Amino acid sequence: MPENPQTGATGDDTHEEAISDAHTEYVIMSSIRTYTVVYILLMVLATAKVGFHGLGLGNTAFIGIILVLATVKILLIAGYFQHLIEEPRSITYMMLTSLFMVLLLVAAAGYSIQGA
Amino acid sequence: MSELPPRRSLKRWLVTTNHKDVGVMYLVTAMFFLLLGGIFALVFRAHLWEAGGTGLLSGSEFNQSVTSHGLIMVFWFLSPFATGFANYVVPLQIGADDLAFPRLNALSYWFYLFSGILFMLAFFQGGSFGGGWTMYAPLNVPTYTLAMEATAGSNMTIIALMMFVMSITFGTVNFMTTIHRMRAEGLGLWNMPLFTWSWLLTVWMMLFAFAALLAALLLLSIDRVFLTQYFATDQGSSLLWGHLFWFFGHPEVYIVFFPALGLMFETFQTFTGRRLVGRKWVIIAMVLVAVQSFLVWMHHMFLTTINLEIKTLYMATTIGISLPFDLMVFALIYTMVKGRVRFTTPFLFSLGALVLFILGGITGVFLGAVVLDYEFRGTYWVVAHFHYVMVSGVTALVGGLYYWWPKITGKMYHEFAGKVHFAAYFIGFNLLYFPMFLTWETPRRVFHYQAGDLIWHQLATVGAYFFGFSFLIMFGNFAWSLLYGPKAPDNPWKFSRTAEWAIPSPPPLDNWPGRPTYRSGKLEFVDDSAETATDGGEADDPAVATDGGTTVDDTETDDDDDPIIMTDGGTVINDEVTDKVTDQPVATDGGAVTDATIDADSADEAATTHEEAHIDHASIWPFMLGLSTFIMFAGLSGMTDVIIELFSTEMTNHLGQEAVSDQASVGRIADSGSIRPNYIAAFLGGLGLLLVSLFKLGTEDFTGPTMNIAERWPFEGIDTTKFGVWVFLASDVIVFGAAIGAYIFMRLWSGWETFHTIPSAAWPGLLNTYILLTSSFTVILALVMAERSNKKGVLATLGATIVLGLGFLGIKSWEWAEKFSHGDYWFSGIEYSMYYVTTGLHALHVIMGLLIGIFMLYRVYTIDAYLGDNRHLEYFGLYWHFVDIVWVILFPLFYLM
Repeated sequence: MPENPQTGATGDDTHEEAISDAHTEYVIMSSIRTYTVVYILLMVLATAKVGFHGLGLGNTAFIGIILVLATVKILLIAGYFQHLIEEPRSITYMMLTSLFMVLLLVAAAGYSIQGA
Repeated sequence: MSELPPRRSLKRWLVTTNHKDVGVMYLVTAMFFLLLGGIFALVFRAHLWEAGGTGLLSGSEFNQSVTSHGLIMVFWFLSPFATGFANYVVPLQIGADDLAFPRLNALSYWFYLFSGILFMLAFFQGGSFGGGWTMYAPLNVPTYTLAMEATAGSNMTIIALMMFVMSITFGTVNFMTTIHRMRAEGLGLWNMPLFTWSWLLTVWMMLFAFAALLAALLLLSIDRVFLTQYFATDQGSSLLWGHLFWFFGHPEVYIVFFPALGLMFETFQTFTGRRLVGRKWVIIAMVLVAVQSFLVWMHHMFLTTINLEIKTLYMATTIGISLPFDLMVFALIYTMVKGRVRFTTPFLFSLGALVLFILGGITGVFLGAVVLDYEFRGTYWVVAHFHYVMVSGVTALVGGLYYWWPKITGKMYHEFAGKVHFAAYFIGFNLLYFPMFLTWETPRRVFHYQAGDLIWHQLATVGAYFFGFSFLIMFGNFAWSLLYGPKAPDNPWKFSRTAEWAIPSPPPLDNWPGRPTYRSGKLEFVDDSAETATDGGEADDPAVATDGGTTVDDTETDDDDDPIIMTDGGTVINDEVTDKVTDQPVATDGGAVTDATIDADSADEAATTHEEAHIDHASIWPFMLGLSTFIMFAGLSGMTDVIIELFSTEMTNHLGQEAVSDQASVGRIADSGSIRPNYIAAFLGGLGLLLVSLFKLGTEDFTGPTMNIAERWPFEGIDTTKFGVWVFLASDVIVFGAAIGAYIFMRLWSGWETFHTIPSAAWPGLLNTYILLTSSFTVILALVMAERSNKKGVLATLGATIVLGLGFLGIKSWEWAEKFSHGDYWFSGIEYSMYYVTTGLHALHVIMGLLIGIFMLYRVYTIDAYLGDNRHLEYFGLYWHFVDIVWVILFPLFYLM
């Protein structure tokens, strides 16, 4: 088996490295594609918020739509840009617990002054 | 090995990052604050000797004394005292070399110490804060009433507390990461020692509760320094503070008490020679309390205008939280019944704590009932109740000091003197606090009471001095111990069960003679290099149960006099508690077993290998960061006058001439022209030093502990630093959530539809949304470029991120400037305050992100950092994307709704 004089690697090694490099490059390109799609989606959703604002919907309907759009955006950023989908599920649960605490505080405090 | 100076050198204590050193510093500093808080109490108790006061203190001085006593004891003594134990003991109990982030740990301590110095400095800056430790609004802001006065000193108190909470946040991130990521092989969660369990739950509670307090204090500091209106209006300010403070405040009770509870579990096991009865149920009960602690906060607000439905609901949840405690109390009692009690000093304090806690708990149930609370709220009943609860925690922690004293100092204390201390302590405690139940109609925080209550108050004052005196016995005992005390063996307690007792007293700098492992069911120290040679180095043994069910060969207990130490988890090696003191093996607790005897030769051999891991223990930069932040905050506290000076005309337009002149007059610290420049210089100088220190910290070569083999459930499959970043972000979610929640709450109070929104157009917000989203995309591209080791690519994408961040700030500045040009400032009204503060807080996060980004850009440019190893870029990205997510919420909330 011919040996690479620079690295000492055999031809088989070089071939495997080439395959490995190609695979890494494929993974990287594929992730760039994913990131780009997510970025475009985020820009569209941000624009949609203002678009719905201009439609003059009722307050409740508008708040509902905004909440949905914001939630989708947050999920996209956290899931793909922060790689939460690749992390152990326990990290997601920890962040959801934190979010739950905020919602608990806001909802309970908000309710406490209704009809008071 | 480390270049840590010897213990006798002052330099060592300035540079050390070792968890044991930091633990000792925490303990010593906390004891100092115990004395300081105690002196305040003795002074105002002396003032209370007569109805209406003896004249020892003026009204304002009385307010400051009571407030300072409360703040010092709750914040600067109780939690840090427990943190000291946790620092020292938790890494030992779980088999770690140190905390996950040693420099962050030192930083946490220095923030704690300097926040305490800032607190004390307040008395010399026109007077400290006097609005009570609960800091109720609107008494907590100068704009509403002159009673609190806008002195730099009272600002300083609030800012000192904010700095203290930052210290807690650092500690929380560190302990969460350490306990979840660095448990020795075979040490599953169920098997963890109970003190570590209690501390784990404490830091989980801290994570959420203290973040809410941090948000509240941030808003309050901004109110005080920049004169925003969060807590100054009659449009819900008081309730807003109540919700934010008590969302933290009630879990704080358990945050303070849980470490004490964990200590009681440890000492009860050790001194009854019996595994804690119902151990797993006790753990479940603790978890339940930790969860429930966030569901009861409104029982502190029964006397406010919150509606009856929510009061009733919170009454039910409050009653509910007492149930898991019942289980724990009965577990302790039954453990005594089943075991053979040895009445040592640590046990006496633990038993005393149990008795006091039962009394405190029962009297608290009265306050949980709405109707009874209407009577008791704001009276000495509350004072007596919470002292029985909180100081019962102190009692257990004092027991902990005796318990771990031999381990920490290597010296034994005087047992008889310890028992005398307990007797004096217990009598003094009850003489001080029990009469307060009897004089319950006395309103708290005032020094006027009915003449018929004189005897109770005088008894309480006598008790206070007796109680204070009892601590002199303790200090005398410890001084004697250090000077003349006999040398402590590795394990002075016959039936102790946890790993800290398996190593010398005091433990060596690197803790272990090899890699600790529980894979065989008992603590062993492994020489990984030898193991690699013999069996391939794979240390995992699938047969070992990591979560409770560890199997132990009971024949191992027969051979020697050294105790088999178990950390529990339900394994029983011999369920007979022996009556003979000489018989060592007792099946008590704890899962994994620590065999305190280690073959000396193998230990030495293993130590050689272990030392090769080389972790650093010294850095001056945490100290410098603490010092510079202290200087900066000291300067910030005197900025109110600067704001008034700069914006007096604008304030006149909005607040009226009278309010502004009041502000100017109470800002009497500025009456000499030389003081104000000093504050400005301190602020800017501190900020400059802070930036330099951060840079030096970032470029310092420092190796922290790593554990290649560890128990990490449920957080395996992620690297340790990244997990730490996520924990920090979880905390930041609460900080931002509370600030955003404040906006929603105040808007609901005013009427959602009729609320006046501030931005005049949506497009600047949308443009900034585009910019931030694009910057998030460029950060991700930087990550990809680093993975490809493409230096130019990283420089270009990271540089683009920074330019975009600056663009965001530019647009934000333009927006604000446009508002200012129309005369709309942050003090113009609550809606303006919320707009400027919330978006400003977000902008501050962007600025901090930019500083990190610029630093990383510099590192890439100068030393080709992160190329091929993009982990640090990913940590930065996590933060930057989080800032992006916050804007996703702020944009519609402020611009579209």
